[in-house]
Amino acid sequence: MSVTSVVRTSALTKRFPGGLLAVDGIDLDVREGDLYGFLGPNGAGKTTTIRMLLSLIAPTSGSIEVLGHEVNLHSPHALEGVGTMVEGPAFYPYLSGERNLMIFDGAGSGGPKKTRRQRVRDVIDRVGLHDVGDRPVKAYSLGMRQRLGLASALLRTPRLLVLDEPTNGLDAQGIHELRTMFVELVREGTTIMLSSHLLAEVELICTRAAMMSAGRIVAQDDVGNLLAPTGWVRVVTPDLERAVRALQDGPFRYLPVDAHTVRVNIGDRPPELLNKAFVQDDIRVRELIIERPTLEDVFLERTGHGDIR
Amino acid sequence: MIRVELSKLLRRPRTWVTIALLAGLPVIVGIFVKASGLAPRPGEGPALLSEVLNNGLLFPAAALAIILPLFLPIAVSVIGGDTVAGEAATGTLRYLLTRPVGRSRLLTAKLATVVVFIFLAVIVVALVALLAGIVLFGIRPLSSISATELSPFETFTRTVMAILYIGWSMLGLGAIALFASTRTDSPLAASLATLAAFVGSQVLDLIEATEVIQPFLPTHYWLKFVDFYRDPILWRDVNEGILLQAVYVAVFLGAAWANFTTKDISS
Repeated sequence: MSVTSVVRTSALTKRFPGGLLAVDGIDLDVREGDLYGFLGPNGAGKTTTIRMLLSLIAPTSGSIEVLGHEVNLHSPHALEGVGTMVEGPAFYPYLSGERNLMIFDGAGSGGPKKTRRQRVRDVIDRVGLHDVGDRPVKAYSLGMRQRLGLASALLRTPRLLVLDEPTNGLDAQGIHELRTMFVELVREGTTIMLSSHLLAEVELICTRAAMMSAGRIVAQDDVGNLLAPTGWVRVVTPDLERAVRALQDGPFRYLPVDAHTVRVNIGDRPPELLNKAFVQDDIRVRELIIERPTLEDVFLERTGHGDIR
Repeated sequence: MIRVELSKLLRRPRTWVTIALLAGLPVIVGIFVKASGLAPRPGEGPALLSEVLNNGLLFPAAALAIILPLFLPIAVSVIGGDTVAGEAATGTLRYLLTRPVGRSRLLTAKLATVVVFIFLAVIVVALVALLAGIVLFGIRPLSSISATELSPFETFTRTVMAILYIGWSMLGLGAIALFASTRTDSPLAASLATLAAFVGSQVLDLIEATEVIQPFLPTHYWLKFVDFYRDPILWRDVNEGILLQAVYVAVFLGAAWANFTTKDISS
């Protein structure tokens, strides 16, 4: 199976007038079917990058390809097929939710006018706003606006969704619903690029991720690879003393943690071997946990603020 | 895209409130003139108002003369200043551009809304004034400013010409507003900048010392629409006015276009 690039940048750089180097030569690679996490703290350059992808901001240098087309300020056509939500939703407050979406659907090349109302209803239903679609947007709560923003991004069934901090301002329930919807959309064949400064949030759903810090990409890989086991396993046993004695004779580095727990570095050997050895010595193993880093750990490590591990 | 923008303009309550206020003021003036029977003497007060007591058909022209010096330019500044900066302030600009709508197309559509607003406003004002004029003052043949009689039909065609001229006269200011609107993310700032240009032009037009530049001020020929009511029509200043507006439109639209199509949108 060949992998198609949906977003590809090369040496993408943005230096703002005044000298601030916001984005420093980054190479992004979002592939078809990805739920791609674009991560980094506030101010890392994520939003500037996304604005360049969406031809809102002109790059200082470097190139951008979206859905196979070169993107620049003068030919934004590549963005047909892209749904966006950048820095919060925005609407005409004096119009109803439905009327707002009619306007966005009609803007640009538009779809057939005849089916416009149906398209708008479909996306409004999809985000669960069917009861309030005819109310003016100024009466909407923050969560409802967020959903309407997503509905707007879903108009014309985009192949790629670019969402900048889509969970901002949502409560736990709202975040959960959104996450479920993202997974559904990806299953239906949409590619999603999702920026967030909340790494834990993204860890739960993303298949690939890039991490940005101070304008540079510090990591870009499948989440499975980024979160590969550290080589340490954590063993919980009521027979800690005997376990430690057994480990003294063994080949592994180890580190007792508390009265029942010891961490053992087995490298890339399968953990079941350790279990087997313990059981043969009649040491009771209550838990055996493979340690994995969190995205936060990976981020801190790659940016040079890594912890003791 | 023009259709989308027009639908936004026409669905916006503010558009109609503005036009209602524009049309309302001359009606109020008319009612007082009628009730008191006191029209300004010729040469005083808004142009042509002195004639209105004699003939309601002239009231649309008088109404335009009432709103022309201040109300209409303010309305144009507000609507024009809001075009792009208003979208930037609400954040909808980024969603329109990423639909995607080409920047030149969006600017064209915005220009169209300004033009439509201007002509919609002057036409509604004139129609309301026509109605009010007929009700309040009745119809009589009109003595033109140069003292020849104009038939009701002639009065009508000349009023249409005056409406077109006044609408056209606003385009320069509209283009300035559009340009200002691409320079800022604050609609208020854009509108005030446009008003500053308008007031500045009016001030410079008033004093003798600036006489050399007066023919180039955007507001200089505005009130020359009264020349349509002379017999025969006095074309000289009117033509100058039309040409001057065209130059302002070209310059400021060009500047707006150059700015907007290369600008980083960070709103």
